[in-house]
Amino acid sequence: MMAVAGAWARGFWRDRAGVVLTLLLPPLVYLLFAAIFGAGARGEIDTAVVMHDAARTPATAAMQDALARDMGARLRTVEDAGELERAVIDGRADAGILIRPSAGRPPQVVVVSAAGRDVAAAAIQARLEPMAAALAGQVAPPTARVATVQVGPRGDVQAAYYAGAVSVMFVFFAAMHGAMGGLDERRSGLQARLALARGGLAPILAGRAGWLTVVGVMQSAAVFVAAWAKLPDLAPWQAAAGAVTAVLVGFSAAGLALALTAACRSREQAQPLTTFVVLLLAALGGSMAPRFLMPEAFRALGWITPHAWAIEVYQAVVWRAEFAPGVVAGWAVLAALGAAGLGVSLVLERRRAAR
Amino acid sequence: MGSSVAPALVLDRVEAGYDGRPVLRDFSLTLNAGEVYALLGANGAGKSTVARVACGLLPVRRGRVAVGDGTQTRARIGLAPQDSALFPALSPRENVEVTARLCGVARDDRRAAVDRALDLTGCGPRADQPVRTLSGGWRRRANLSAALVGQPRLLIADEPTEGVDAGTRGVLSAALRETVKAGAGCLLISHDAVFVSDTADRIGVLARGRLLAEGPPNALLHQAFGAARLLSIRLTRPASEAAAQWFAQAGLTQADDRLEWRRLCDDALAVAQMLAAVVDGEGGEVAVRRPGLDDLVAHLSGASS
Repeated sequence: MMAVAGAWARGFWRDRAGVVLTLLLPPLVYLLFAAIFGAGARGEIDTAVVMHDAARTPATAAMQDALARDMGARLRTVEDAGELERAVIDGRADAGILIRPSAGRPPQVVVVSAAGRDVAAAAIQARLEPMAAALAGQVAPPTARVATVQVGPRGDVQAAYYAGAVSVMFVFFAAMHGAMGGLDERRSGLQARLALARGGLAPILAGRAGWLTVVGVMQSAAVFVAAWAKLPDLAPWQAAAGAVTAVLVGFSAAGLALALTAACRSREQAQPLTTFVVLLLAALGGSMAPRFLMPEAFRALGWITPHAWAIEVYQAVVWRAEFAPGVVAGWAVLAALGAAGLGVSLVLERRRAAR
Repeated sequence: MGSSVAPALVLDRVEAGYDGRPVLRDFSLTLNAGEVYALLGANGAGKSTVARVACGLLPVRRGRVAVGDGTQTRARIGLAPQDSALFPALSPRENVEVTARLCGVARDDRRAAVDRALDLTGCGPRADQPVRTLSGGWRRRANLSAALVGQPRLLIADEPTEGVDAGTRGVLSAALRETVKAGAGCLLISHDAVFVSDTADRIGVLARGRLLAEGPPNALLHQAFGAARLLSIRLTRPASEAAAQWFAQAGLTQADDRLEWRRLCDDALAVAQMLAAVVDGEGGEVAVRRPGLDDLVAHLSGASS
């Protein structure tokens, strides 16, 4: 087992460009994901808005000035309502503010939105409510009728979330890619030779799983190092629990990757299959976007993925600093998946060798 | 061969195949320790299936397979597959070391065992270069070295000379001879008739999963052809009608490509002289030679069909 893992390790280490990409890409993507999606999930939406004031009253001019001061360059004025609609439809603006004159009545404020931009429209609408009320000569509705109280740890939860989410996604990508080396070894007869020398396939597959797990741990470590500044201060037990989680994520990825590649006859089969599976698991499991943003059915379906379990465990031990029963359950799921994958790969490889 | 030494491999009335389709039926073969036994046969004859059965990679449905005295572990089987079964990023030395570790060669003995295996195939000069940078011939040497490092009781070499030059072929032949001299048995699968003639003690001719004949190469050739010689006429274009009539009357038969005419006979030289003028007129060449192992395989396979 160690001989095979060592051979794979030396092969990995000698491909310096591959090493750099394997260990550098995950932190880079993490930083991007945390920056791009993290702000959105925190409610910091930088909405671009176009505005057209068709009423042209002193009051609407004052409203436009107030908005311009508040939004800065994100607010752009246009000369007619048609141009405003075009800007919203073609995506140059996330929403539009149209102020219409109304004979004998106060000007009417309308938020112009396009399909798929409901969140932007709702945010603008909330911001305009007091101004629209003022234009209408009404008293602005109270803004704090319902209080919000934040509980739990303070800090950049999204940065912590995406550290787990992105690392899991990359560990699975790397495991799938790495496991394809086994297809080459099967085709060349190397696998048969090694199995003969050692007296069976089990130690050979275990060696591969061991090395893929090590690569997974290295990738997870690279991502968490990049995220370190944004993580809460970790107690030693949290760091240890995070490390255990990384090992089990690597093992589950290795098991699944070996099972999938064992089911394939060639790289040509394995590449699209593994890419599809990795993307599907990442999407369902919350590696791309938090699962609380998903419809309920997909949120429930996410539990069939190791990603969801792993992210939940990372959140528990790294962010919430709690060692709940869910952590142990998550570890058990990840370990069981890895072991099952390894077992399936052994059965499939044995069956294939006998064909 | 001493009768007290157990055979390196025994296949006794074996039936094996793929997906319910039998390839070997009632197949028996005994490979003695200290001999190179070459399996010959056309593509699809079942040679690789025999190798897979011998390795234990393909389970048998019926019959018995024994390696050595029956107590040998599979680790005592050295396999040199047809392709370059090596880690491409590692050097030949590192590849051989990995196999040595897996074979259970003790740490203290490992370096000597690796050096010995590399020396046997003359792989030393390229032993520390990554396999991916080596030519086909050096990869073949490294491939065989990896199979030899565990000092196998049974060595299975599948097409070890594919794509190698004459010099490398000689080195590989010497490596196999040296290995069996040390007491191993070698099952050689090859289409290289010259290599087999130079290396094998016995050959077995296989067709459709059955052993048609086995024995020392020269004995089998003599048994099949006696003193007959093979007369062949090679043309650059199909023979004219008149020439074809001459060839047919002289007992020659046309090959599938319509450019070669052949006849196996005791008076091949006389027939060649008789047809010389006709062949000249057709712009062809006449050759007379002793039949080789390729001819033996074709002869036996044709006779059995």
